[in-house]
Amino acid sequence: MKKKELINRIAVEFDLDEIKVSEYFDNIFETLAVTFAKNKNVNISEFGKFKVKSKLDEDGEKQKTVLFSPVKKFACDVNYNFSELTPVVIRILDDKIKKDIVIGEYLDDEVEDTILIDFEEEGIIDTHKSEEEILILEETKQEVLTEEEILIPEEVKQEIPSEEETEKPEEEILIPEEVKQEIPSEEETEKPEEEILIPEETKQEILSEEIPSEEEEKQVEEILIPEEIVIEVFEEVIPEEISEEKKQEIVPVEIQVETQIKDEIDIKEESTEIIIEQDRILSDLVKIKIPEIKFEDFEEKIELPDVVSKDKKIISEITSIIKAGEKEEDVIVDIPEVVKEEISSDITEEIIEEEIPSDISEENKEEKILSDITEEIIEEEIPSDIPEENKEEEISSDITEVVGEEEKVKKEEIEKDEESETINEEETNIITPPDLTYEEKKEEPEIRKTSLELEAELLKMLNERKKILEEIKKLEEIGEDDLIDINKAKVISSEEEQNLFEEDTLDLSKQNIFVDENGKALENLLKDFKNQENIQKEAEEISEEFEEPFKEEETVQEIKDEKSEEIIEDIAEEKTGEDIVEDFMQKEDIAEIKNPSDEGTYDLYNLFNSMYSEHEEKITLSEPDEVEPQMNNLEMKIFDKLLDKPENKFVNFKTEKIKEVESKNDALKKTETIKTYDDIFNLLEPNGKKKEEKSVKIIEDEPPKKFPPILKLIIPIVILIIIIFISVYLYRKSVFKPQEGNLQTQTSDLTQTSGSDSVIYADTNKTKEAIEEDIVYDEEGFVIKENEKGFFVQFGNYENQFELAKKIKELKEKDIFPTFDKDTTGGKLIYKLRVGPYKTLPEAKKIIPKL
Amino acid sequence: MNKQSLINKVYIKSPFGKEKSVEIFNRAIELLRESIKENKRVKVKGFGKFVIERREMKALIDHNKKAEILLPPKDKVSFKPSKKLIKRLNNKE
Repeated sequence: MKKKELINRIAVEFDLDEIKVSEYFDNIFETLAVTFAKNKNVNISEFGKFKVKSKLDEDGEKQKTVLFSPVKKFACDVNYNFSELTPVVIRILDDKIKKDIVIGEYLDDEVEDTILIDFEEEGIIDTHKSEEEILILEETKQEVLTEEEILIPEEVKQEIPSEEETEKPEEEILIPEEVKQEIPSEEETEKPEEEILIPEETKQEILSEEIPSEEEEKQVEEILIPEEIVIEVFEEVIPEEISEEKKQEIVPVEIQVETQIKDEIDIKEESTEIIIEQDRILSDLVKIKIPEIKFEDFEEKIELPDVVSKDKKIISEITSIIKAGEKEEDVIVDIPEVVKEEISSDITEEIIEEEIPSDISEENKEEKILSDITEEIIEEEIPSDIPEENKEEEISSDITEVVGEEEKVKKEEIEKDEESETINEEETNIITPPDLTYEEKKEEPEIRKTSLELEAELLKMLNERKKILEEIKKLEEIGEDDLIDINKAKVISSEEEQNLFEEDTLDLSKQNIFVDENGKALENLLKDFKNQENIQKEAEEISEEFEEPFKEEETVQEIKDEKSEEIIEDIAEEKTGEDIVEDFMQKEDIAEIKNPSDEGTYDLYNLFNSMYSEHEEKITLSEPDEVEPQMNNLEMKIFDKLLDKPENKFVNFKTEKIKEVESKNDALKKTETIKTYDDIFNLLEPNGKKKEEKSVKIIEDEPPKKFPPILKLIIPIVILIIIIFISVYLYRKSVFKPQEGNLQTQTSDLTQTSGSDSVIYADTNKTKEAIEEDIVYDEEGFVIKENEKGFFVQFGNYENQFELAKKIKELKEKDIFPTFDKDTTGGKLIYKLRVGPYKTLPEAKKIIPKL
Repeated sequence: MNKQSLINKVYIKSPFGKEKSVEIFNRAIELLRESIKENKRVKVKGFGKFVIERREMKALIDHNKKAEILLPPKDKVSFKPSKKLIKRLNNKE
């Protein structure tokens, strides 16, 4: 449709000329164009609204255009095809997406890809990558570790333990390290025997001089005495014990690592790590199998089967003591007890039998001078003991076989007596100091006299063991969890030894390491309970047997020597019950563990511990890196990034916060940002101290912004007053304009100020003077009055001021500038509108035709 | 500017009275609306043309609802001023 058609249709409908109609429409469109040119919008009802807006051209210049927005009815009529359709929600989006996505007609595949890219950039891909990367890292680490670990046992293993034990006392460990390096060297089986013998000879000379000094100290201190008894047990076993002790020392360190690992594993998946460790153990064990034969040969030559079980028991006792939280003195004292039990077939038993009667005789003779006698006894007994033990040491293995069963039974009984006495001594040093010194010191010289050479070596060994115990105590101080782990590790080790020999059962043994710990521990506990029941019965019987002979002795000795015997009786009676039970427990455990299978497993046990320990330590170093990427959330990733260098970044956050607070521009933004930072802080540091500081800062900064309340009231009042004055001033100016031509003459006469105000005031002054006026001319509604100053043309009298103002405006349009005077003659204010003054009457009449 | 004020300005110069001019103006607007609906195009020489433009289907993200919304198609009336008028508006004549 065009304008012509529109005009034609309208002309036909209204019976009008097309020309007139076209003119009409031309007028309309022109007026519209003119209004648009004035930047005015046009709103036509029932049609729409035209808006003038400026837009940028193709050249970049601003250009005005007209936009049309139709009325709702009109828009709906136009959109009748799609009026029924309404917008549809395709899907609800996460908060993370903040990008505007504008799409064409339909959602293409490309668009979906772009949306997914937004997700992936923010974190989905990272999680997938993390899982893949973890697997890759694990595989690589397995390969690396296996390669390294295979080499370690054969060649490098000697160096590694030295590095691991840097924290431990170097002086003590240096000696065993040399021995240890020799033993694991699988190829050199024969050398250790030679090398072991050498230090013994050398040390005998060196230590023979040092021993007496130590003996004097031990005579003074009762607690140190039992340590020497231990020496006998370890004389033969020196090289192996050292290696074992070191490995045992390493065990707690490893177990700490295990605990950390297990905590992490519990969070993750246990299965993956177990499989990894199993594979590693398999790879290690396959290569360890070869040396087994060599170690067996080595053991046969040395003939030290009992040592393994003894060491294990010592460790178990130490751990038990550690749990009990006993002091250092108790730990040192407990060791010899175990050793005594272990020496079932040793010579000490026989010696004690022979010596006991002599001791009793001496005691009876010298009751008061106890300290002096002990020294003498030691001197006397030393020579007698030396030859016996020397012979026995030479025939160490033969003696056990030669000794009869009956003799052994007697020895055991005697040992029990001694143990009970020693225990009483330890626990009740205050009650019976003199007697204990006798008995203990009698045992000491026996050992020393037998083999001084071996004693010297063993003393060093004991010192080492003391330091080891001190280290264990340090570990105890760290936490109770470590102690529990030590026991678990031992249970595993003892059980694994048997399984490790067989290739077929390798997998089961490894699975048992992690899975069947509790099950085997329970079995051991059940065995212990059964043993306790049997032991208690035996202990009761034994206690009864011992009590009877003592009573007989009491009757005999009460007449001669009461004091010494009473003390012995008290000791025996008091501690036969409970203490003997514990002693039996220890002995039975020894017997069980002395099985031949345990003997063969000794070397493998050492190797397994060493190998397995190294693995675990390496795993721990690698794992913490793996833990972090599993966190999927963005918050946690940010948190992790912050944790990489927490100190620097958090310091920056603090500065940023302070800056934001100082800026004071956007209060809302500050609060939002600070809240986010606070959330991060709370995760790291649960203490809410930092929050409080921030809140305080914000509160302190805000108040200076506020205006005092008085100003708020004063400022608008002042503004209102100013506006009122201005409005009044403008109103007066607009209403009372001065007369330009004639008034100048008037104002010149008057001494008042110029302007419209002057006229008003001049007139008011006149009213006060009450000038007399005479009507000169009165025709056609116009009145001319004569005055002293001249002739005035008066238009009328007005009471209302606004009517007067209207009349003045009308006269101004006709180029007449009137004035008005005020009259109060009638009791009312009347404004007289007039023009003048004119000097003559004809001049005044000239104005009338203008009106 | 309103319709009334526009007619007041126009009818002084026209030979019709005020009432008739208003009738003619309203009828002209009705005709324009009908013609725009039917023919979808009205052209006035020296002033501009009214055109119906179709906005096609569109997918948008509504941040208030946090959802992706699909808008249906829509027919819209748009006015395209002529070159003369644009020149007049920009005082380039």
